[in-house]
Amino acid sequence: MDIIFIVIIPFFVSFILSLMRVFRRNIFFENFLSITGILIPFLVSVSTFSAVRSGEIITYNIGGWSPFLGITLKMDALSFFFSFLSLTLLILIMIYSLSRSPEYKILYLLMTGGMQGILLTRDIFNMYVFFEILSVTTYILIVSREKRSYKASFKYLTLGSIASVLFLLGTGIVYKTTGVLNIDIISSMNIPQLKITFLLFLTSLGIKSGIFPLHFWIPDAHSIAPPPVSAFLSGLVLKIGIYSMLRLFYTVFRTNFFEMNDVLIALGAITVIFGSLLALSQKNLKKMLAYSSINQIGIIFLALSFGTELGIMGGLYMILAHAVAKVCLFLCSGMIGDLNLLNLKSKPFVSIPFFIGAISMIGLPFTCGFIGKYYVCLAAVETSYTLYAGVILFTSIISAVYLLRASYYLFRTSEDYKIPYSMRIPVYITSSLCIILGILPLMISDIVELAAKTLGGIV
Amino acid sequence: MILNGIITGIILILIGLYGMITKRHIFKIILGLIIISTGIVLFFVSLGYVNNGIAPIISGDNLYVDPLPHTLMLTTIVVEVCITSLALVLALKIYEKYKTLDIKILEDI
Repeated sequence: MDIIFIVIIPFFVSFILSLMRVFRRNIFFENFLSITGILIPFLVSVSTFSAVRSGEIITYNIGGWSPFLGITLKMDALSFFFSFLSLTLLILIMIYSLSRSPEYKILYLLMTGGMQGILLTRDIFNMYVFFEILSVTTYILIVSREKRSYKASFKYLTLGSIASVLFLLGTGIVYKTTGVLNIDIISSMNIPQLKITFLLFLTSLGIKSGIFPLHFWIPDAHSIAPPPVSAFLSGLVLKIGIYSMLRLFYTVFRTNFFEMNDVLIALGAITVIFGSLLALSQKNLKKMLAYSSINQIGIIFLALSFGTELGIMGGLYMILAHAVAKVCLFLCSGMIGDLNLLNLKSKPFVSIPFFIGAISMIGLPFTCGFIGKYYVCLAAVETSYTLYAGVILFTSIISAVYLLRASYYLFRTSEDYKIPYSMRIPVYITSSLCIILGILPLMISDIVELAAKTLGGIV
Repeated sequence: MILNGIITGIILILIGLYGMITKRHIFKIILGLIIISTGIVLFFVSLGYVNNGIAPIISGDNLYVDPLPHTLMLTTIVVEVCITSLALVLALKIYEKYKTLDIKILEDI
């Protein structure tokens, strides 16, 4: 199957689901459709594994137009890494939220399609369109019965639309200087880009992924949204911003990016410290998790700004670790009644996965987070930014304090409450993935190495 | 100074941004959003402008206007309509729940 199906099928299934609203609701069929809508793209993505691993780049030109005129979809190691990771987690979150309304599933599938579109497309304007699909659906998904959710959604909407306008402005300037919109062609043309364009893209993608001065929508949106929504918001949607940075900055804006290395690394370090200190001071579990994802995004951004191959590898491992662990933690938080830190109570089937997710976030050995932090610190020492390795290790201690405190409270058992198995199983799977990927990173290490090599560090 | 489309577009974007940042009323923020999107459309449409160019229907050896930015803007207009309508719905809902659209008051609640 062509890789275009990874993008089309979620859109198609969400269309069918919205047509089904005309008839009487058939829950079994609806659930079946919404899972296959993500499962088929997942299988298509897996089927490209052996080709991608051998270094091949799978290309699909939409409508048969040449890449100079039309839109090109490409699957290389970096796209495969993100697409595989996001689709795996999206299936799990979908299973977790099967009991929700059909509107939720329609929007969820639209969001899946938009996300995969960003990962595969090589056309800057097309990337903007998919970004809008992703953002508009998430603005709606944040809204719940809670009163404050409207305010959080509006705040996210204003910032998100400013971000997309800046992205579009940057696209316009790039088009004016080069005359094409295809990322590969632009980067092979070797025309130095204006610095203002780079700054426009940096601000725009910084808002989308929550880098330090632009992070302030994250705590509201992520803590007020329903639990599965906050799981994919902080686990995956933030990473999509990071992906676009990797894709654009290492190719189109290469010279600008390496010129501003020091500033970006410092920004990342400030994000790390800021996120972890504020997470420490929170009284609400979900707010704490939201600030801790600012902290982790800081580490990822810092690692990718080193510009070396080791740095990219560390960043990608951190993305993997944070996505899996954060989805696990947020899904756990959906099974807890009172989210105030001091009143936390749960059953062992919630607290043990939460604990495993927490130690992976801290980065203890034999978990997925350890490999990520190890590579990031190695890259920091290699590029003689040893101070930043110290910053990461220091904030790891802070995150140990707040995450272990929360899991300590969680171990208090509460009275019986019923959680269906469709909600428990995704949590078990994500928490065991934290351990399995920590012990056997071989499954994904080839892809990560290949992605780092194709992007290429400073030569 | 010659006020061409690109500069006017950027000025409109800046006016919109200023409005979004300084105004403390939700409806005014949405208005800022609309001004920004108008500015960006004007900016893009002027990018394709060629002096003495004619409409891009290929016949013979003439100078054509670049049609690509114009087609891109059709997509952008649709996207902006979506975002504006969603923002208005959210504003309505906020008014329903809190009986005010003033951000200063909303922040304290």
